[in-house]
Amino acid sequence: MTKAKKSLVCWALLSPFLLVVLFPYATMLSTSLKQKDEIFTFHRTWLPRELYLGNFAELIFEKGFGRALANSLAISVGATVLSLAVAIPAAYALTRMRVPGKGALTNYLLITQMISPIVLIVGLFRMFAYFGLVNSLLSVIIAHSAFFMAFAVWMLQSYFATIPKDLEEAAWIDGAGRFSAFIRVFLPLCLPGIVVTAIFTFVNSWNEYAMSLTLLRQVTQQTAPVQIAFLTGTLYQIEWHLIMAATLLASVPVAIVFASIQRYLIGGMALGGVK
Amino acid sequence: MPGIEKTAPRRALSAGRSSKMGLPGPAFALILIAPCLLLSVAVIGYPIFDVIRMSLFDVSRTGVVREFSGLANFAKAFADPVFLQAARQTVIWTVCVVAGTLLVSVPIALILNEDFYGRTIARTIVLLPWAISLAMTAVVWRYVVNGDFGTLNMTLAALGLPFENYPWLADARMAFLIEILIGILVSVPFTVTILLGGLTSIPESLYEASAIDGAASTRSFYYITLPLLWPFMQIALVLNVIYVFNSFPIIWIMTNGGPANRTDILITYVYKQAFAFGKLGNAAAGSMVMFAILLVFAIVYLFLTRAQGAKNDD
Amino acid sequence: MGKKFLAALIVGTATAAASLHSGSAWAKETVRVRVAEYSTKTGPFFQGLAEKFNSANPDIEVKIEHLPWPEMQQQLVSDISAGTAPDVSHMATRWMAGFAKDGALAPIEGLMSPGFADTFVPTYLDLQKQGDHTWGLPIAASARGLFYNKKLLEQAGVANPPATWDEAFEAAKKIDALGEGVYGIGVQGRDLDTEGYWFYSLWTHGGSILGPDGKSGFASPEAVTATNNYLRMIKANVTQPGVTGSSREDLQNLFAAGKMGMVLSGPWFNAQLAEQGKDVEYGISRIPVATTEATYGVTDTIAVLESSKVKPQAMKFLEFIFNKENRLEFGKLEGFVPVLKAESTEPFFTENPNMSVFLEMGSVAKFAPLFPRWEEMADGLKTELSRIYAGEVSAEEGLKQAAAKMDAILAEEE
Repeated sequence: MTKAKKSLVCWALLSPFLLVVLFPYATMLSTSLKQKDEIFTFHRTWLPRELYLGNFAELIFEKGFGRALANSLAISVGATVLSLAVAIPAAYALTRMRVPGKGALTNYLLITQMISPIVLIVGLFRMFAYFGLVNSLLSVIIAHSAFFMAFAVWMLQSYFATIPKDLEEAAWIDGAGRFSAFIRVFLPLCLPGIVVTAIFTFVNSWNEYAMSLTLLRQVTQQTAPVQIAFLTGTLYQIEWHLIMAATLLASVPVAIVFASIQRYLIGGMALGGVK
Repeated sequence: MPGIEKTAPRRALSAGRSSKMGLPGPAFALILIAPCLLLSVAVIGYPIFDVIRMSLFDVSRTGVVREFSGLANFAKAFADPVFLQAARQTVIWTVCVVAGTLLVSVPIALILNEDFYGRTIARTIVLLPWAISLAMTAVVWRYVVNGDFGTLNMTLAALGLPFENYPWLADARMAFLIEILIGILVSVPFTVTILLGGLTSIPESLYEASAIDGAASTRSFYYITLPLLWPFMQIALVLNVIYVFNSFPIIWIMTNGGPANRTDILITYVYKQAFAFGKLGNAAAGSMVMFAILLVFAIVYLFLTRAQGAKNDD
Repeated sequence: MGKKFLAALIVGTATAAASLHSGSAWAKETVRVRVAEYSTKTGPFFQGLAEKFNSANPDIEVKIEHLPWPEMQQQLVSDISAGTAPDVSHMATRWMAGFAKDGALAPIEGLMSPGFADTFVPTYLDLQKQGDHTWGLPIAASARGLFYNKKLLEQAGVANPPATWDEAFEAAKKIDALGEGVYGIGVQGRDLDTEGYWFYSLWTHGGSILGPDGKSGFASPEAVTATNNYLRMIKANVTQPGVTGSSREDLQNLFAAGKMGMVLSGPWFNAQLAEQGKDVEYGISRIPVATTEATYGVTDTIAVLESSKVKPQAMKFLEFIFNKENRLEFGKLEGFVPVLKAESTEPFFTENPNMSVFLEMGSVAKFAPLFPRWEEMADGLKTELSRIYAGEVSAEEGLKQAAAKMDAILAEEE
């Protein structure tokens, strides 16, 4: 089979699923280009009356959605960095060293994933409030890291396990310290795995809602998902035109990230062995 | 997950060698692990304690813990037919979404693993559902399936199908089905990513060897791909079970557990108890039951994979 | 304690300084006020009021926090339990009883200036009272009426908006027959206020939520008739399809698109129609009657929390937002009926037929009871209603279940 023919077959097989994925996006695009009085009409149409970009402008200039995106970005980047900063040493120790109580630790991490944050929200809030950490982006970064880190440890552990030990050992023999061997030899080898883990954490944090809502009470601190929820939460009417525009906007950064890390995503996974 | 440990045979070898190198002892290892453990215990530890405590006490609607009530909250939960109904529906929800996700994800991962034109675009599109938070996905879909204004009926009607104003969420079975399908849709990106990782780790040489042996591609799928992919499917299975079991926004936003509690699952039940009815003690007891169910699942899983691992070692 | 002492010291110094520099920022007491959003205009409106208030009262700084309704309960519970509750919070009146019972709210009768309580329409203020205390102020009040699409009624040959339920049924049949995608009358089957939609029928058939014996009135013969009133419309297919999947917004959206002949809703709907249903010519009449004239009166409450350290200042702000001018502006913005006596005579309410009808119906308004566990009772009712509307159980059977649940909760509470 030629590559062209194979491509055709692949796309044909994928198309039902791709259609389902893209359908809500088409809906978002269509609705976000409509004006408020076009949403509920007797005869529904896909196409807006005219190409109207006012909803995007209203979101960014009046509703402060740009700021919400920036808050989300700050939190997601912060949570990713913090998670990795604690997960990398832990995963390294778990794969390369003899750790007393290793099984217990792994089980504990699995257990922390079993309880939904929604269930824990009251206790979580009480604790953060007690320490005066409400209304600070940092508190959300800490909370996200704590919840998403377990997954990062697993992922990293499995990547690390696939890196041949000989390479590091060779570096030690060459006189490099363990730390510099870790930095110069080990880390670069695991980079794809780390990137993939980072993406998982970033996406989870970017989309997280309950903790951000509860821990951040000031309008200026709202994250994108929270602000979108605020648009749906008014009592008497839902601002669909704005919601669709906002959702579309919020998904763009993540989509760009996905497109640009394909190389790592697959290359990183090629090392395999998620554990 | 011991079942997967087998994918890294190198480890036993290197571990044996490292002890001769005079590595830093367990103390150093603990130092490396400490920040991770501390962060987790500090943030999640107290809330877990709080839930356990509330489940055993009489709690006011504002969270004031009053007197110890033993297992009264649990008794109340189990006496509530809606709780039991929600528990049954949780099982249906979890099994359908997780199984459906795997069924959809395996072929997609296999296709995306092929070398074809536009593969990067296809992969990006497959990952797109992940780019929107679950809550927003649910909000958008609620609009999509709206009877009179939704884009789904608009499209179906334009294709000549009799769905002019079909109310998708009015019937509990249909509503639950739609929620399950959306659950599958949003779980696919994560699962495909994990499976793709597994597929790319299968050395090309294995297939070449089997091609030389004249194995048909279906045979090589069953004898090479599937066994090598199995550990990755297991991970996807375990993580998806945990995530889907606890998944709140899709059902909450699309049907709120209705009509007549037919789409309630435990997490929506617990949320209603806590924040709509002010029964924090009951909610905490419900959460503990949820946790126990997942724990049993994890133990059974570990037991099975261990047994399987032992069998393979024979 | 040290902090308090310091604060006292600062207050003392600042009072002295304030006599020299009026408007000094030193001794400001912060009052946190949380409002829930009726529309996206609610937050900015209160923000504006706070700015006005702050500049007139240099010793108080009001900070507005606004939240969407669906998150209000969760956030309030989390906040009260963590000791971070605002000083003043907006809530649905039906939650008030529960919070008051658990000691989260401060009684305000002693905080109000003399005569302030008398500026309210008594019906609405009385709803905020329980036991011997007043627990809040009625920040929003609404009555409900029948919105009808004039053009559809005319096309269907219905001369006047229906005054009785039988007329409404006949009109709905005729309108529904007009063609594809046009529905006679809306019946709500899910989410917020589903029980309210049923109360319209219950009360106008002479039923009541609480029977004369102090037990649930959900299963009374009147309640069964009231339910069958909607059921006949559903069975005759003159409602929108999929009643059990239709929320209040869904019904309003259908009406705004000109697809629905009649729907029962409140004054806020005028605001949506002005924006999203410009082409719909509509009128509002009283809720159709079987035996008794009635409407559903609903208020929301704004209350001072027991944990607040600045209750007098909080009250001062509340008195400010409840002055005639500010209330009128709020009423115009969100479309609520007047809660102040002085507002009731304003031309905005009396001369606009789309507002005056709600005002007139105020005298026949009935209200949901203030039980601490009302939400649970209403949820049980909602569940049974959706089974009844779906045709799974008869009205008698379903309502018996709902009544049993309500009675069980009532018995537990005693």
